[in-house]
Amino acid sequence: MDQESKDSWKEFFTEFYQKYSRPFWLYIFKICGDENLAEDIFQESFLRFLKAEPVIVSVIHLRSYLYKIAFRLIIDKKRKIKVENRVFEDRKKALKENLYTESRENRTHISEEMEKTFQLLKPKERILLWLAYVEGYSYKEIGEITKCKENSVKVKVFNARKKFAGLLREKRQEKGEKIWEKGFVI
Amino acid sequence: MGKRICHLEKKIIDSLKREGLTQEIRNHLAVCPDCEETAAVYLWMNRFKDVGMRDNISLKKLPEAESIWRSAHAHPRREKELLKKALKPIVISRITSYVVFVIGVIFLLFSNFQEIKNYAVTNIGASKIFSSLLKTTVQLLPFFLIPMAIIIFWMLFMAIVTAWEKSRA
Repeated sequence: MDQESKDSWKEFFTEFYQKYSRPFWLYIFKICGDENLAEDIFQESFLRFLKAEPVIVSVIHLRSYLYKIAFRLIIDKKRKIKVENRVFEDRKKALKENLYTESRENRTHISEEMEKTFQLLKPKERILLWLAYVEGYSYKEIGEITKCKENSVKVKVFNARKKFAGLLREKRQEKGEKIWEKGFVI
Repeated sequence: MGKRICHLEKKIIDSLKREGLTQEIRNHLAVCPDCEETAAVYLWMNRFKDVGMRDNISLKKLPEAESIWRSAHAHPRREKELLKKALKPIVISRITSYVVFVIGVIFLLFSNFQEIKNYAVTNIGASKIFSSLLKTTVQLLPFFLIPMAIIIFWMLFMAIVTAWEKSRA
């Protein structure tokens, strides 16, 4: 890469980073549920992204490429250090026991409640729901990010959604509220 | 698989994004439990994101683009050095094992010859067999040594190539 294209790539990256780093951070943090792990994955994702020097087809394409990197990192970290059993479980346990203090003073009660509910899902389910409903990716795009076939993604999202809707229902019932009112006041 | 994915699912999500549910969609939601769940989960997820964004935790200071850029472009050399350092014991042990192998083969070859030689000295019949065997071996030795040398050199070459590729990675 010559100096001129390097400069324009740097300029593009800076703009891209400023625009998308915040939602990307939120995605990783909400999926991992652990600030330190999320920080590692966040930085590593951008480093890998830069090292790969992807061809700029479109910003959407680059964004999904970044999510693809992050997906692999989350899953790999989970496998390697058995995050499922250590970090995620510890966090689940800590949330249950009300011991989780990380930035607690800065959080609202509602956010904590929602996090507790979200952490009841498996990491892959969290990723699928986030990509489908928050990022607004199509099943095909999610398939590309998670290296799954479109039909398989449809089924997985369907199952995750069913499971999560069931959890939300339980939570509501615990509080003695209706499952959800017409007009979706959740 | 028996999974029922409603054909209106995408339409419902699009409507929710625009925050404008048409009467047709509202009617459908009243009768389709799957779409009702989709809408509920969609709204919950987006509220979760909004709450997260509003929370101070989402205002956490992220590294600057410049620092990410710098570390991405400074890392390769450092990584190479670290990889080389990490692989050093493996490379050394591999080369040592080849050397030991070669020395071992030579040693075994000659020590066995010595045993046969001693046996041959005490036995006249065997002596004749030994001398003819020795002649044949001497004649055959180059033919045996050449392929063996080729194999050893090939192994050494492969070890060097592997070490070089690892240091490049």
